[in-house]
Amino acid sequence: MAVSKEEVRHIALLARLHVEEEETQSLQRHLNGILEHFGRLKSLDLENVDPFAREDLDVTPWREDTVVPWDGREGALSQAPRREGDYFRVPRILENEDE
Amino acid sequence: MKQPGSAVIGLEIHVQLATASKLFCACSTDYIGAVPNTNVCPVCLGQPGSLPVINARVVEYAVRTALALGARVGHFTRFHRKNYFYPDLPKAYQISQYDLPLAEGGSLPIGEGKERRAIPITRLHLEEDAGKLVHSAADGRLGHSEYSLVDYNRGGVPLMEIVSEPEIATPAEAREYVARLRQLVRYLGVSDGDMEKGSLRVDANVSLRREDGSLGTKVEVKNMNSLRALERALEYEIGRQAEVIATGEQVRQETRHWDDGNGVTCGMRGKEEAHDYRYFPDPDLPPLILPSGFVEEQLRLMPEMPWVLKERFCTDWGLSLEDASVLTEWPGLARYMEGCVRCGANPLRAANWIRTETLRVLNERKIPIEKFPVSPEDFTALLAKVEKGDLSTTLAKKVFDLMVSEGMPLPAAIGRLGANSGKLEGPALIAIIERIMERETGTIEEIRSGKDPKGKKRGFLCGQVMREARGQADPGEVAKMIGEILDNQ
Repeated sequence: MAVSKEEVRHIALLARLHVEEEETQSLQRHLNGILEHFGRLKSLDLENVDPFAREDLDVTPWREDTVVPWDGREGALSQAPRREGDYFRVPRILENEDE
Repeated sequence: MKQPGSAVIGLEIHVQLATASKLFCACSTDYIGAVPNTNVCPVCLGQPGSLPVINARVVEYAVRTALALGARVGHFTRFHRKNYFYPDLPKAYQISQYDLPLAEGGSLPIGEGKERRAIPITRLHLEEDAGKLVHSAADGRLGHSEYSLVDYNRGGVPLMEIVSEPEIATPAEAREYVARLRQLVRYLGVSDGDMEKGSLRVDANVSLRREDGSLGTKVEVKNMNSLRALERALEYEIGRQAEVIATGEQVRQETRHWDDGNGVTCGMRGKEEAHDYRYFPDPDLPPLILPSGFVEEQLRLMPEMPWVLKERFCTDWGLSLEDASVLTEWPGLARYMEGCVRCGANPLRAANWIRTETLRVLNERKIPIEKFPVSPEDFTALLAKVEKGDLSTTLAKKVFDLMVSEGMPLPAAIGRLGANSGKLEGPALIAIIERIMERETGTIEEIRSGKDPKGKKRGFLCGQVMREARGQADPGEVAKMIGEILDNQ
């Protein structure tokens, strides 16, 4: 199950990464290496192993429905790349996501 | 309904759950009118190192809804990341459910009597809401904006998505399905179901059957903010697709937005992106394993279903289907009606008064029944006075208005209208009649000389007496007494 150059370009697009033509090749090798590693894991006999097994978990930890205000709001806004008053400001959004 | 050209509709409904805090963090869900970005924290702002922890009440509410729909609740489910870039989503993924939703199957009954049928449900799952964007362009439109502003107060608010099978045949059926689901979530107390506020959002998948009966290309329609908008949008979209097919063209698979002002659905500009969400299990969240006894506990807390209640109103009390439908539309209204009957009210009279008087007041004042100032006890006592003939209907309505406008208890309202003594009869009534007869000698003369063939003048005399008696006399008795006087002398 090797990754094609096309797929590398598609994945880069989905991740909003600009990838030069020569980078495509090295990324392709890199991704294929990762897939190969998982391919080796696949060869293990896991017939009777629950895919979600978690030794430490019988019941999911959850919290009561109570409101706890957070006091770091100003810090979050002021450290954003751009803010406008009470809002985070973001660059122009392109409606058409294709290239 | 499998003939070519017939519509096939499936609905995806997002219901905002009425919890105090968000799905995975302790921020308030009360975002309407709040200062932007005040109900936020590292979790719902997607800050590195923060960890989501699920809100127990969200699970309760969703399980309760699933049980009401007769769905199979998954005791072991999990959360996935749905990856896409959009600024209203600070993590660049939405936590949602994918291959193991909280519940699957079930159905929602719509229609009455022989027309009644169950619309099957595909699944019910949990996910988080996104933030809100404000676009900078003067017309508020995205395409014209140089930049956008983001408010994350709504980000992370719990949503329950309920997906129906594509087995809805008409826009009217779709409307009823949504109305019934909205009623259900209100009965369960899990959401206010307000479409205009966006607590209940409907997306519709519409296609027309092909010549061979198979499903045609599916179009998704969004942005319908009321039941009426939903019905109109579907009618428009079905007509549009039929026209496209009639001219020999192909229906395009796309998402279209309903434009309520112009009454049309519009395709989004540009090429439709093939979504590639790269779902994978969220490693920050353990699987959701329901504790033993949890589902049973929710089952125990289940109120009577609205459709069962409606049937009971008809069979136990002999109400018409229409009365029963109106009175069970809101759980509070149904409780009020039940309260009245429990206090001894005649169900038919109570239904009639609630529909005409109580609902009028609620509409005029734009208040829910919970804020209605007249208690079922007082309301029933008032109806009893009408029943016994102590108060005429006209006077009773005046008393009712006083009880509503001044928040007066029944005796005080009756006292204010001078109707304290209750029913007017015997010597007191005779005295009033005699007074009127003395005053209206001309009219009496005319009646006696046969100038009242239609009995209008007799009616006038009765009216005068009733007015003098402030409506507290029995009109039948008054007419009889006046008749005796006129005929005897």
